Amino acid sequence: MRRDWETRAAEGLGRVENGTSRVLFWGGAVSIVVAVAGLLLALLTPGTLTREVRLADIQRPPAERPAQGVFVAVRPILRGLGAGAQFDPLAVVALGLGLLLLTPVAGVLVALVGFLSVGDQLYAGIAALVLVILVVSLVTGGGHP
Amino acid sequence: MSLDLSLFLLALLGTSIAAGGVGAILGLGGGILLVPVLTVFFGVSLKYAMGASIVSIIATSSGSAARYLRSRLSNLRIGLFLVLATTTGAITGAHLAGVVPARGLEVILGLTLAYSAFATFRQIGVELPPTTLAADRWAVQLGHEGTYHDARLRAEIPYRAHRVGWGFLAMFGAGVLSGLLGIGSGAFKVLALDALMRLPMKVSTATSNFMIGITAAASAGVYFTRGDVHPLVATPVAVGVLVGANAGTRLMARMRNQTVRKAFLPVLVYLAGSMLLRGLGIHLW
Repeated sequence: MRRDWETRAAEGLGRVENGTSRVLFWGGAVSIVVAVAGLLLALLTPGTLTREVRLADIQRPPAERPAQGVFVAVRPILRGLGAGAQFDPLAVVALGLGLLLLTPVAGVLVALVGFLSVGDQLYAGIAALVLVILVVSLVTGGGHP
Repeated sequence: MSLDLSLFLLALLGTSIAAGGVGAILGLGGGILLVPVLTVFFGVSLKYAMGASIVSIIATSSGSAARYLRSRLSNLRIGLFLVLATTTGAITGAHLAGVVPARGLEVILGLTLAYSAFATFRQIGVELPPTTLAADRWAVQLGHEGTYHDARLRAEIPYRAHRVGWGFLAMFGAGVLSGLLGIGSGAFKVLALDALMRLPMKVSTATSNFMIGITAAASAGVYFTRGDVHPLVATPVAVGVLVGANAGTRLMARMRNQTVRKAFLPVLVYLAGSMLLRGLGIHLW
């Protein structure tokens, strides 16, 4: 009985592993490219860095609020990606870092779908639980509203 | 000021390449080296150093986990199951990190480094664990077993996990450390997989790699929303560690493990010492 389940699951496992592997690789690659593109853009846009970010901030960050150029939520990132005067190259960097953060989440999601499709309900359940933990962590964040 | 900043970014990139390379060679991951170097030598505030480190860990883990999953060296089942413990621990740790004073964090990081130095000293050569232990009930129920191809031994090696319950508990602890310090705590994950659960060393390392990224993502959410991920620190660091880790992994294949470990042991001891001293309020730099 257990052996049947095990053999079927083992055959499917390879496919699940391949899918997860692909998502992790491409997610990581795309996020890094976006973040680096944003950083180059920031370096090439005159005034962006000198105006908004000071080296001293990096060494002694303001205690109460995020330093200038640090993004802590999705909405300001989207605003910073807007065209015209609102455009902030550092928002592109933040987008890349955000995508990077979501890469493992996407990997677990793909594993969940994979386990479901090969009928491995135990591990589909475990993957779902991991996903819930990750999403709760992302949504509740540092406890700030 | 702009020139200063560009130089600073370049220096950050270079240092991260070095930290990523050394980390990969030692099997420790970049974070545990990076956080002390960024704070001790660059004067980067501890919160940004930890934020950048956690981001770089996700980047590195994504690449290597993809590779290890494809080559069947990572055990996806064991990894996913234990990640339940590490992510819960990491979220706990990340919240604690906002409460524990920086000095306390420095002391804990110093002790963690000291332990990593000890672990590096302890690990000599790759051995296959004995297979005489009785089957673990949880391991059987959860299907915690597998086979991997050992390139050096030129054989398919079957394995099964032991002491899954203890492993789970240890992973919670590793998760807390990871979230608390912004490191991958790979050394501790490997220790739990290898010494406690008796998985082959290569499977332990590869599975730990897979787990590190997911664990880091769990605490990175907390770091991100707290404003600890500074784009200008995190990006060069992530890119640097990624490049360094890839180069290091390639280099490692051609180096003798023992030589490498002996060479870098003093570095670890030094970083451990300086972090501990900082925590105790004594600044060397």
